Amino acid sequence: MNQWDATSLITCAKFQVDGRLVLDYMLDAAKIVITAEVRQETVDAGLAGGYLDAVEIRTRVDADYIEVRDAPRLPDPFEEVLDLYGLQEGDKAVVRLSLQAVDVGATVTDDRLLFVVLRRCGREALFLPDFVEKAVAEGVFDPVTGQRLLLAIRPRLPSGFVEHSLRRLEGVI
Amino acid sequence: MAVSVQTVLDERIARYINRVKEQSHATEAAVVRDLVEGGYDEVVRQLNARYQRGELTFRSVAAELGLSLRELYDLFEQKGLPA
Repeated sequence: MNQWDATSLITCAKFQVDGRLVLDYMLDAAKIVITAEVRQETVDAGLAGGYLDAVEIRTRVDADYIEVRDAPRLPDPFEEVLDLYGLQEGDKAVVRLSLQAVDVGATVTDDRLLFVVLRRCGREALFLPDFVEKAVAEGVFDPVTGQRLLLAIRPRLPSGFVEHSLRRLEGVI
Repeated sequence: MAVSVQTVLDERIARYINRVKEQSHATEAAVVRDLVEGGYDEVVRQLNARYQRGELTFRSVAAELGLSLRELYDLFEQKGLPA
């Protein structure tokens, strides 16, 4: 089971490959867990704004493909460090869940600062393209499907991230 | 949704607005609106650049702009900026 951050989740709930939502390919790889804060940001705020991706995420939360968990506060010294990084409440919740949930493996995020904080906390963090590569390596889908998924999400990701994973899946680097 | 704002401008900015207004035959309000929107666009792009460099989290950028995370995702998408 992997934890997902909000922006990666929204991106996967926006695009399709062969008429199937990218998010569903990701759910083939592993169950997703999100914090209550990420649910609020993606589902509640998304529905209020009329975003279709919010409906897609809510459907999968209701079907229990995406689990929502609370993330209790960490001891004060830890919380103080998170404040010094300038993290917002939603960011801190992602770090808290990553540190407290023993059954959660990696955290999927496209947030560079959050990625660094998670890694410095000794937790595994994956950018979304890395998660696709990992799923291909584990045989969840074939390299061609992996490449098509990467191309589908490319419009929302910074230059270099998708191309790097594509070259690796092509076996040229 | 649009809101109306009253403000006092520096004289140099006022002169610039008058010059653009005369050249483009636009209304004063339209010139001021273009200036403000250009400034806002620049702020959004600078914050996106800081986010891309890992100086700020996505949520911190949203807080800076007074937006929800979902609204910021939408704004970046509209401007062709990565999330």
